[in-house]
Amino acid sequence: MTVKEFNQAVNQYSDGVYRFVLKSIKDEDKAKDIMQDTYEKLWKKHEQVDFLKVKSYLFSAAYHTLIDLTRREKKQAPWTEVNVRTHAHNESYSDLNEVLHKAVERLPDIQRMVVMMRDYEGYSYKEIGEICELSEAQVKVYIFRARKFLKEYIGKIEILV
Amino acid sequence: MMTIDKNNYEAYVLDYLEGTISSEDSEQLVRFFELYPEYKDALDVDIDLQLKVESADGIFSAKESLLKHPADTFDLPVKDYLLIKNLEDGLDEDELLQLRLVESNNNQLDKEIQDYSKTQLKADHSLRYSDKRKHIRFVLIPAIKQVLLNRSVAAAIIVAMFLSVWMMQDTNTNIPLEATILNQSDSTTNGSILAETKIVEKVLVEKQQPSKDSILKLANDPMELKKKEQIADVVEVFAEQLIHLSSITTIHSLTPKRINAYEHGLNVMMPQYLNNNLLSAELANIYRQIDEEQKSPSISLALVESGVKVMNFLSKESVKMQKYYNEEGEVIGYKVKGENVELNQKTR
Repeated sequence: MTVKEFNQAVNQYSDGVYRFVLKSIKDEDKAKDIMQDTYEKLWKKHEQVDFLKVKSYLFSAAYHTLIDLTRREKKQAPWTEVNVRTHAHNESYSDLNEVLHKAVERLPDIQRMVVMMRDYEGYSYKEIGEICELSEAQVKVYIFRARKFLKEYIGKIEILV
Repeated sequence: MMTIDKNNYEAYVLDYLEGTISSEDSEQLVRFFELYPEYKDALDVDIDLQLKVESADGIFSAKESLLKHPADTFDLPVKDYLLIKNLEDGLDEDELLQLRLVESNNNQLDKEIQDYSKTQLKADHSLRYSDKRKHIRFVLIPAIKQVLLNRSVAAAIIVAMFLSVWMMQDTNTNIPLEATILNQSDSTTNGSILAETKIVEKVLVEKQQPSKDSILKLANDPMELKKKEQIADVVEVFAEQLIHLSSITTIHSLTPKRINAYEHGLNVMMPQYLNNNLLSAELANIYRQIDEEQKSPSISLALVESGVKVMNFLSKESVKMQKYYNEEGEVIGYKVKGENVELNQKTR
């Protein structure tokens, strides 16, 4: 990958990776640190990385950094610490989306990440498996179980409302 | 219970060969040979005994309960599995049929499909990464790759370091030699053999730290030391040497190598001069200042205070200073206490 392609990867994919990271850890500063770390890793290996696979490389690097971080901290930031207005709320968002995001927060880390990769980026099971170093079947199981949980959570909230 | 054993099995074999063996006995004979195959091998005749599947009694009727559905892989009910698969990958005809069988109520089915469609996340595209510029890289010379450039610069630095070390070693070993016409060797007979001696450099002998008094004395009267040096430089000349010197009739003059006086002065004389004169004089000056300040203690307070600050900065608060004030708020004394020192001083 050339320097020009590296810069193209910054412009093209950094938003997606940032969204993925920020939605996962809900801390803007940490998310930016992870982004810095991720692109630094890419820069060090930019000559070996194929531009066609750079998106997967970025998500993979960010994912592993996230996993390391969450293992170190062993606890998630409470929802109250999140800047809801900036990170989760959007004028176009309906109440359903807010409920859905709350439900996503309650998913186990790995299920949340694979679902986000699937929905936000449209990755296939195989691609997610490569990024997360999981088998395709494992990815599928995580996604199916996550969907079941989300559907039940939304259903319960709707009944309460 | 088996009635065939190793004592009577041959009779049953005969019945089998004659075709008069009953089905029960035939089964028992098969089992016997399964248990003791050596008796079967010992028979003169080759018999082929096999159990026949005669009825449907042996068919396992609970096969259906062992069959697995793909939904079992996910620990999900079949209906949920099919609904999620419909959302994720779509359903084939068989699966669609299964779904209709599981949920015959079309309205309910549509609602379930709609509920699952709500679980799909939507990316918040208004959220953007603001620090993109930090990651943008520039190429100074497009033809040269950055890694190659870095490696070249690193290699050049290493070579330069080696060269500088080598050159320093070279200058140290190439001490200029000065030729002299004086020959102090006793073995010379014709006086024409010339000796080469190195430029005499004053070796800086490791001495003990000079005392304050000696330094002050030296600073006040440097000539006294010179007198001593002159006395010390007087060399006793023996009669034998005088005879030897007088016996030399011819003196061959040599062409001495030129010495770069500036370089010699800078490299050899300057450090000696600094060591002998300037540093001693500077030290003597410091001692004089201390003596003067001891006579007027109030001036030294500021010096002590700043000294304590420096020491605390360097040694992480190892020295404590306490000031004493009079009724008018003026400092009348101070106390300095460290690990190895304690000082009480009045300023007024």
